[in-house]
Amino acid sequence: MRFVEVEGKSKRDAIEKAARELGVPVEEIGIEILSDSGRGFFGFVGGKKVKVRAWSKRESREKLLDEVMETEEPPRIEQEAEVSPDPAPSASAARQASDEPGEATEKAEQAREVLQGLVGWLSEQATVEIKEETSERILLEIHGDKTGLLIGKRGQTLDALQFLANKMVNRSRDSAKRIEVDMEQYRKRREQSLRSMAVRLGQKVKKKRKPITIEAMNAHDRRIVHLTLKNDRALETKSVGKGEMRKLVIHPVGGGRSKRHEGSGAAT
Amino acid sequence: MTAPESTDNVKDLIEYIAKALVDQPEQVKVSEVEGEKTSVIELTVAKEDLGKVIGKQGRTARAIRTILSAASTKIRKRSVLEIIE
Repeated sequence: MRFVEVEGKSKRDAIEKAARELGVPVEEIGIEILSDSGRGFFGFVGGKKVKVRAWSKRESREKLLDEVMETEEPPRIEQEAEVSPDPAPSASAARQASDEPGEATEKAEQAREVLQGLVGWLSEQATVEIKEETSERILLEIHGDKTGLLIGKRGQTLDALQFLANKMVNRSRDSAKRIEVDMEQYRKRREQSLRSMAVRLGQKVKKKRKPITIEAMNAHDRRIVHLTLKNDRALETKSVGKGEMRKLVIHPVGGGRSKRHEGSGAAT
Repeated sequence: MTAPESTDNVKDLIEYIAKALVDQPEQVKVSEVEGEKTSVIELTVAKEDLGKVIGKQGRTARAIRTILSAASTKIRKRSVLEIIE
């Protein structure tokens, strides 16, 4: 956990400064008063100094998830967008293949058209390609500009496009095929950053012997975290809560040296 | 289904999505109440089709709103979707 130590004219002043330094809202920082030479707690006592140590309460939670996503991804999106006119050989091969009659099924072509229709409102240049088709799924890939807009924060626009494409195409259950939508290999990159986040948080749980909760993930994201930590015997992962509120908790397992066992005890 | 002609009209976007989701596309009606900064897109569908545009726990409605807000970002105008019951 990252601490900052700040001095202010009053306790409130010090807290606000600390919050700015940590880049989180005032309500979301924890503080410890190191020295308080003023008398009243919230009074603006002139000339006196209050020193506090502060940390972000959110750090191990969704904030961390955001940091992972926001610091690691957007720059790469821009770079890759530059090189995308000349894609990897596999991509162009797939494109050629999908142009050949009989390669893509009617279903896949329908899915491509529906997604192209949706994407057209967000970017004039973006095109949709049938990247892969198996008996149970169709993988569609979006190429073009406006990458940030089409992917959205934490992939939410891409997920919405995928969700709607599925609903719009698979109206009758009997011929349903799962449609997956990707752009600039976002899914793979997201998976990689989720994996590294999972490993990092797992180490933190082992070190502190306290469970950590990660919020704001969809079922697919949670699955990646579960799978990443599955083979670590010192850790146990569980999802708790329902629907949108469902979150994932990483618990430490066993281990004798635990001083604060109440948190992990509740898990088993 | 063909690609949209005008990409600036979010009303058509909602109509495009709704018609593909419902059983009675001819009953889909979309109107736009334009404000200075925000416009309200009102979607009406056949009673039997309401569930199709809302979805389980409102997931479909949420996905439509996500795409609507992305499309609105592009034309720099905020729009909100109201599903009329």
